[in-house]
Order: sequence, then structure tokens, then C-alpha cells
Amino acid sequence: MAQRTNTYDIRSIDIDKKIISSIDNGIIILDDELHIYYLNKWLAIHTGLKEDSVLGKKLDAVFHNIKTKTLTRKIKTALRMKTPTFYTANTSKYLIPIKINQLKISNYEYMQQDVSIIPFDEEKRLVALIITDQTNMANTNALLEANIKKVNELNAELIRDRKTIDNKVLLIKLDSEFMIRDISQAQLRLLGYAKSELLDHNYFLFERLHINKTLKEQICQHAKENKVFNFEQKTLTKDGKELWMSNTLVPEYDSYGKELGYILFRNDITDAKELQKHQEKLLSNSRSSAMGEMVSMIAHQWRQPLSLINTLVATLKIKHELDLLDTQTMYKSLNKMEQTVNYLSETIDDFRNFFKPNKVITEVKLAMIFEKSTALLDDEIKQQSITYIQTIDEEIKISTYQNELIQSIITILKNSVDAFKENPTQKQYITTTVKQERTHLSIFIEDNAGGIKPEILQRIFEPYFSTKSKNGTGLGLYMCKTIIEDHLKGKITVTSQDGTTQTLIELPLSL
Amino acid sequence: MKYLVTDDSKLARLSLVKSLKTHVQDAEIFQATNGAEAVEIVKEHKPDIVFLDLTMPVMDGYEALPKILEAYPNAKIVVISADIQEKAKEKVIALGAQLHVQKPINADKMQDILDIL
Amino acid sequence: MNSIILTEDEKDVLQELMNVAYGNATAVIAEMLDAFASLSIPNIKVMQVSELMERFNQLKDSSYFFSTQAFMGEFNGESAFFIDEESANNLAKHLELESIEDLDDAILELTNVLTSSLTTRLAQEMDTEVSFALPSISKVPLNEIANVDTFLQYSQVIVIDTDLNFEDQMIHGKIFILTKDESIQWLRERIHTILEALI
Ligand SMILES: [Mg+2]
Repeated sequence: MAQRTNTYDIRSIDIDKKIISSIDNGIIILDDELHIYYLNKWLAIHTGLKEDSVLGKKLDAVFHNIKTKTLTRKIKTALRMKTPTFYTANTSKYLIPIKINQLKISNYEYMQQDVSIIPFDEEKRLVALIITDQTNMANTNALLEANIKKVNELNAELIRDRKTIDNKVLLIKLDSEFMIRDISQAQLRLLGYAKSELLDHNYFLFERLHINKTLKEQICQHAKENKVFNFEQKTLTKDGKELWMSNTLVPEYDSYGKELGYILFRNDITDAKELQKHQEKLLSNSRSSAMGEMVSMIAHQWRQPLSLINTLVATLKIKHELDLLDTQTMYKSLNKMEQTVNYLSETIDDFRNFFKPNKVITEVKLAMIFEKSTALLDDEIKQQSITYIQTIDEEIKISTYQNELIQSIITILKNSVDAFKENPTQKQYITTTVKQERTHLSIFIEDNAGGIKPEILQRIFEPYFSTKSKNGTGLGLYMCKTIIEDHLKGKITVTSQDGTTQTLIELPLSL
Repeated sequence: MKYLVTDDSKLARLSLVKSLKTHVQDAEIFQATNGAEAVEIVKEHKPDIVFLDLTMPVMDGYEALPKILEAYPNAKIVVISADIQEKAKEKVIALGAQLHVQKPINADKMQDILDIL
Repeated sequence: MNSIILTEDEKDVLQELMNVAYGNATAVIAEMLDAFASLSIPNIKVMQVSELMERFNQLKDSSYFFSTQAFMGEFNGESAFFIDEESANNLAKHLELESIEDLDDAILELTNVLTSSLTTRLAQEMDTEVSFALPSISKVPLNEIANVDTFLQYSQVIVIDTDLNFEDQMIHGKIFILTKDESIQWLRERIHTILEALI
């Protein structure tokens, strides 16, 4: 029989107890009912049991942790098959409990064991249990397993991240010759191309319609110097839709620092571009509308001085025809006219100045701001018999862009003045109150020009929204809000009740 | 005497035939590679002794055994199988086999078989 | 190594030797479980490792446990054993096991019994010896089948696979005996010796 030489090794040689005793393994000889026939020195030392005291006893009676059924089954199988059966430390941990008393770091309290059950004497139904200390191996395995687990987790995380990047981030990988090496799913989806359609194509060739010579040179220059470069460009999707991309070109290296090429991180800024274009258009519209308002205000301001000049000219004419014109009267009238014309030209300069955006922040008295603002409306206010009451502490100062603030205040006051044209009442008034807080000031403007209906109130800041029957562009309050919130970092709210309208402007004391 | 050797393995048939021939000179030996073939041969040639494997394609030994006896009740059936489970032995004896012998067959084992029969 | 093609005769011999060996192994397990197994005809096939891995991968999905054991000698190689979850549970029930660790141990034992009795008997029929060492028996996490580097060392393998089938107990498994390159040549010489002795 093939197995015989193997299994009978131990029996065929005379068992030299000395040899068996000095072996660094535990050896027990048992019968198939688990009676102990022999126990070597190693086991005696490690378990603290004397061979004499356990001979003839059952192994599972000496060590209560041993599962009788399992061990018996393994012994019987070994005898039946005439080949060894096993316990492995991997799954069984240990058979004979031996405490580890060494002062070394171990994951285990008990020695981890591999156990071979070798058929020893088939007639007497004896087997030899050979016990090998596998604690070191088990410790190493545990360490290895923990590390493998960590590596696997990291790997899984990396794969997840990669997937996310591929699906969410627009990127194109280029080699040093700007040939497309890879392209993310997100970018492919956006452009409507399959990967195979773009791989190994030259990036500049692909974008030839949208990257001009200058931009290309800039890109190449930065790339050559391994510098990060930001640029914007248009691109076309496969079905011809135009998109705006913002690009960041970053050099890519492998883990040894060798250059691989470049990564182009992209952002779809089409929506932002559209918005920007839209806003620019709105802004230019509102500028021209402001100009329109300005012209109409100038017309108002000029009405009286012009009629004064008219009168002076007519008087001069009549006096001249009647030969009543003396030199003194003529000079007096001409001086008056000169004064008036100067006033006219000042008015224009004032308007022009106020509607020219300031580049610098200056500290000004708020009273002065209102003085300048109302000066341009004085005439209309008087004409319509509006009572204008202003309560502003002379000491209140603000550091801001003053022209922008003046323009906003004019717009609000003008709105009130215009409202009275639509809704004339008995006692028309506009009041302005300014209160200074710790960090900001509140400008409170109220009129009683009929108020604003709630459904209109919630839309007054929308561009192109107007209630004025004529000349209203609907951009005044939109501009106001944009200026106050974006430029002056303030807040504007409008409320209305019982035929009155309140506008509250809150501004930081200093920008 | 007529013999039928039934086994899907050529090796098994060869060794069976060879060991049979060492003991029997004027044997007429038929061969079948599965149970179905064996039943046909039994019907036609009525062999005295049928050697029958258990694990075979088309028709295994368990299925063939009663059919062979039905075709020729005087046939003596010797099951030659690798299946040495006690229950396998009991089963074939219950089905009417004379003997159950463990594979592989050599001349010595064949002598024993022929002696018993 | 050139592609190996087994002749019909070679296959037949290997199949029959395996049949005999497997009969032996099954009887041992049947006794251990006090059950009756139905034997099936072993499949013999020469495969590329990639093809084998594919088969393993198919089995992986329905398996609960996968273990391997190496055997050494003139005839050397490795056995691989798959058992599905239901079968493992039924095995546990049958052996009256107490915990999951016991189940793992019992399946390793089953692997060992199958491998030892199969290969010992095969070796015996081919007039040689094999031996087994304990550390060579191990449980392999199913998701790491493809990383078992001993498999990757093979270029071509003779794969003998057969089903472990305890109908009444509903325990089913699949065992593969894989022989390495140099062992295949030895195996063929043996097969020819056996065949020549008969003709
Ligand atoms: Mg067969």
C-alpha cells in the first residue's frame, strides 16, 4: 500500500523516547475512544501535566474544551483512510489549551496549533496526534490579513473615487504632444462622443474652430514650462451645440516624477456665460434708461431758466424795437443770461457726474448726498406741490461710492415724484429720515402717493417691470437694487400700506 | 460457457477479459459498454455469467440488473464496481446479483469469483 | 510546453482509475456521514488555466466554501473542492456541529478525506506514492480564487472533476484534481504502461 511507508514510519523505527521527548512538537498517542497512551515531554512541560497522572485517562476529560465528537470522528476517519486527518490553526485555533506566557505582543492568549492525526496502530486503533505551534504564523497571518483588509478598503475607495471622478468631473488627459490619451465619461456625455471617436486625436485639431493661434501659443508656452494655465473657450458638441468651457491645464507626472503629459480639468460655464451676457445687456439697457431719465430731469430743471432766458431775450427785443434799450439794461440782461446759461451747463455737469460710476470710495456727509440728489428734483417737487421733509443729522458720514448712492436715491425719489403724477392727492409729501446704527445706517424714504399693490410689490425689483404709463423702462429699481446690494454691499426693501410706500436702504458705514 | 462483460471503461473491460481468460479456456465472451447494450446482448445470447459495472452512461447497472434477469432469469450477475459503500452492496444483492466485487479486477480476484459461482 | 492532447484511451484509463479512487473516497465519506452517495462518471479535460479560472468563477457565485489541498510525489498536483451553502448547512446538520468554525473545520476535513483517498488510491493504481502536508490544506475566500497563485503556476492542467452527491442528505460538492505540467508527462507514461500490460 502506498501510504504504508508514511504511516508506519513511527512504528517501524523503535520509538526512542529520548528523540520524541526532545522534539519541539507535542505528541500524544490516543486510541479511538480518546484514552491517552503516551504524552511526550514537550506537552508535559507546556501543559504542566505529568505523563503518569494522565495515562489511561480520556483526553477530553483532561481538557474539557475538546469536542469529543469531532476528535473521535477525525481519529476514526484517519484509521479508516489510512492517511492523516488534521486540525488547522486557521479554523480550529487550538486543541490543547496552552497559555502563552512570553512577554511578546501576540493576538492570542493561547498557543495556536496545527494538529495532524496520524494512524499509528490500526489493530489497536491507535493514532498519534502531532501538535505544532503555529502562533507566530497565526500572528503574522493576522497582521497580514489586517493589512490586506486595509489595502482592499483603500483600493475599493480608490475605485469608487475614480468612478465618481469619471462620472462627475470633466477632464481630458493629453500626452506631451497634446494627443488625447483619455477622457472622462462626464466629458464624453456632455460632448455626445464615444471615447473611441476622440482617443488619439490631437486636442488642438479637435478644437481648431475655437482655439486661435494666440491662445494655442499661450497654452503651449505654459505647458512647456509645466505651469498651470487657465483659459476659457467655446466648444461644439457632436450634434453642433455650442458650449462654453473653462479649462485648467495641469501637468501630470507618474509616481517617479516622470512627465506623462497634461490633464485638462474643464467646467461647463455655458449657463454662467449666458447669464453674464444677459446681465451685461440688462446693465447697458439700464444705463441708457438712466440716461433717458437724466435727460427728462434735465428738461425739467431747464424749463425755468430757459423761460427766464426767453423772457429776457423777448424783453431785450421789444425794448430794442422801441428804442428803449440802454446799455445798462442790456448788460444787466446779458449778465443774467450768462448766469442762467452757466447754471444750465452746471446742471448737465452735475447729472453727468452723478451718473458716472465712481472708481474710488470717499467719505462724505450724507446730508450732502441728499442735497445733491434733491437739487436735481427741486423743480419737479415744487411744480407738483409736494412737501419734501428731510431729517438728517449733519454729522452722519459714510464711506462709499457716492455717485452710485446719489443715483440710487435720485431713482427712488423720482419714482415717488412720478407716482404723484399718476395718483395726485391732497397733501402730497415725501419724507426722508436717516438713522445711524453701530455699523450701518438706515435711510428711510416714505411717500403717500397711493402705495403699491401687494402683487406688484413683490415684482418691483424685476428687470423690465414697470407700472409707469410712459417713459418707464422698468429698470430703475432693478438698477437700484443691483447697485445697493452688489456695489454698496447694502440692502433695499420696499413696503407699502394705506396709500403709503416705504423704502428702506441699509448701508454699511464703511465699505 | 458464455460470458458478458459490461463496463463503459475500455480499461476495465480489458482487464476483466484478460483475467477471465487466464482461468477459462474456451470462453465465449461478449462485451457491452452500458446497461442498454447489455440487456440487448442478454436477450440474444443468454450468457451464463454477466459481469456488470454500476456507474455507466445511458443505462446504469442498477437499472440494467432487473432487466437482464427479466430477459434471462438464469443469468448469474456479478457486479464489479468502484462503489464499495455498504448500501450499494446491499442494494445490488437485493436486486438479484450473486456477488458484489470491488474494482479493479485481477486474476486472483477472478479465481475467487469463479470459485464462488 | 506544447499543447497536450489526451487520446481516447488515455482519457478512458484516467477516468476508470479516478472512478475506482473516487469509489473509495465516497465510501469513506459515506461511512463518516452514515449516508449513501450516488456516484457519477468523472470528467477528464485538458484545460488552459484561464479556462479553469472561468469554471471556478462560475462555481464561485453559487458556492459557500472553496478549499484546496496539495499532494506531493511523482504524481503531484492540487485538489480543489467547492461546496454550496445549502450543502454546507446540511453537512453541519448531519454532523451535528455546534458553530460556524466547526463547519469550516468539517469541510476542510471533507476536502482532506476526498483529496487523500482520491489521490492515494490513484497513486496506488499507478504504483507510486503521494503524501500530504497539513499546511497545504486551506480555505480560500471565494473572491480570491483568481489570486491563488499556485493555480497561476500551471500552464495547462489535466482537470478531473466529479460530483459529490448525497441525494437524501442534499449535500452536493464538486472536486477537481489538477495536475501540474511535469506531472502530466509522468502520468501519461504510467497510463501507457498500464495499457501495454493488458494488451
Ligand atoms: Mg463505469
